[in-house]
Amino acid sequence: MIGAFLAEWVILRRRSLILSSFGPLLFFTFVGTVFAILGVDEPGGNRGPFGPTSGIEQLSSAGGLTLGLESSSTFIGLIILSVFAVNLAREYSNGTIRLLLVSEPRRARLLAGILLALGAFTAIAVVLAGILSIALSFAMAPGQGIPTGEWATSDGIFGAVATIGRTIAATLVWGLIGAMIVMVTKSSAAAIATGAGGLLIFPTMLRQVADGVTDRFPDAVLRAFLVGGNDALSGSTAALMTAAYGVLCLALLFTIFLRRDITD
Amino acid sequence: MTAESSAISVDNLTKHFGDFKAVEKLTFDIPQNGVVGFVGPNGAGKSTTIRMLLGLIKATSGTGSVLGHPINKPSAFTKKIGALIESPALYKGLTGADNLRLFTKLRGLNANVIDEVLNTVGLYDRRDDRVATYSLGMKQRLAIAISLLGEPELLILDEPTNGLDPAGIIEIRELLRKLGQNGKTVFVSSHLLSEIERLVEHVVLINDGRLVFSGQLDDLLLQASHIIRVRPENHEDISKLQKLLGHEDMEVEVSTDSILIDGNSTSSVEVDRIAHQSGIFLRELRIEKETLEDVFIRLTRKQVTQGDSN
Repeated sequence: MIGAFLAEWVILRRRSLILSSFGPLLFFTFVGTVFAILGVDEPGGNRGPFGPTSGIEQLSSAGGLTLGLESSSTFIGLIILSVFAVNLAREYSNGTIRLLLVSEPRRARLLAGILLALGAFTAIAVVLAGILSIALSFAMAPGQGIPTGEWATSDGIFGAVATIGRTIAATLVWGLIGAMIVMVTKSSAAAIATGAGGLLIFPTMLRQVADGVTDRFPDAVLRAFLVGGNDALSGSTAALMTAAYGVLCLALLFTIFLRRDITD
Repeated sequence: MTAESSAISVDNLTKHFGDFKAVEKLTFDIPQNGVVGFVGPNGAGKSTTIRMLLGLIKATSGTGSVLGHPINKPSAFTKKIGALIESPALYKGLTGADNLRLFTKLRGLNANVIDEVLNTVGLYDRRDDRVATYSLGMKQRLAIAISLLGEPELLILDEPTNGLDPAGIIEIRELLRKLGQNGKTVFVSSHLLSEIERLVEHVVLINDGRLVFSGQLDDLLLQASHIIRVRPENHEDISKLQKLLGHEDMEVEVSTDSILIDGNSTSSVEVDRIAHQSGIFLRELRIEKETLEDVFIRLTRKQVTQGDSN
């Protein structure tokens, strides 16, 4: 498994991949944080996929430090879904999966190593996004009259670390959803289309006609988990459902990969 | 030859994809050391067989072993083998050296073997160039370099000369010959029979997923027939000579500008005599031996006929 992890890392450390994934990820974190800080004047405002804006009371609290990161989380999730999907689908479309399996025929170890490497890549990306969001929040808050005293307390710091941890976990589930769709379809395009269309746009449309139906959809569950629970789902329910989505994706991934003939 | 002493041994190996029978009750053994050809036309079942040997697809029925280990436990022999399966599957965005680095890490090998295999395949000077800039021949050589990592005892190469120009084919042929002479077993599949004929000592022929022949190439070529090719000076004499030879109960076939006669039952002297007595001057009278390709076509035709009569 360590061999598979290190081998995948040779691919992930490519400059082009780092630029094409970290670039948009940091850009959306930047935009989400700017929207969150500037939205202080109109609390409850709708910023679309970036979520509702928060008032000064919420922003100046200990948890306000990472509101920018939280509002960017859906975009971060989609980008990581794409990274998982493109990397896994490429192994099938290039035929490199054959060579990987000839070198490491223990399929479970190979897949576990690849997923661990992608997970480490995700963790680094989210930590960088968190650092950017926190730095930007500190830089912009005084200009908007947002007190930052609570942010620098131990509650603020631990809260920020916890939010980054939850963002990593939620983003990993996004990635696993992408990997699972690729494992079924062998197509990164299908995974990204399903991720963006099926998991984001479709629930948004459904919500217009039947509110509450989509509360247990992946996007809603992961959002609820990220903020430690909301009106629709308690923190513990959201955490359980997030774990359930992750386990379900992993089970499908491994089951298909262990059983499928490699004819590509 | 026992399964333990064979490099590869398969017994009634079968693979069906739904109703399609890709490989049907294939049985053969190949010895250790040297270059062994695995020959058949496109779609004969070569790649499917190789994928079963490597554990990439599961056999519908039958058994097999690689270096004495069953094919359903590929982890037992994977460190002793190297493989290239169909087109060279490489990471085009990585350099040649990084492609090799990836596989050294996966196999738990020391990175200093990279330069060694790059030298063996003659790619050392291009090691830091992205694979996307390589020619097809260079990609094939890099794929072979990957298969050479870890000093494997057995190389399984599926169509390593596919898509190469004549110079590239010669280059790969020489490389495989050298590897075979250095004590490795090279199991090389190809649909280019003329290419295999120049390279191997042992050959396995398959067609439509079934075995046609397995054994020494020399034994197979001993079965090769002789053909007498006759070309009259005047093209108009072809039909006249054909009739005359036919009257003598000779097996005759007419190609564009010559007559082909089964050389196993007729002597060239007899043909020359008949032509001479009839006042037909010959531009050419030549005895040709069947090539591997001719033998293969004849054997597969026989297999089809037998299959039809069954």
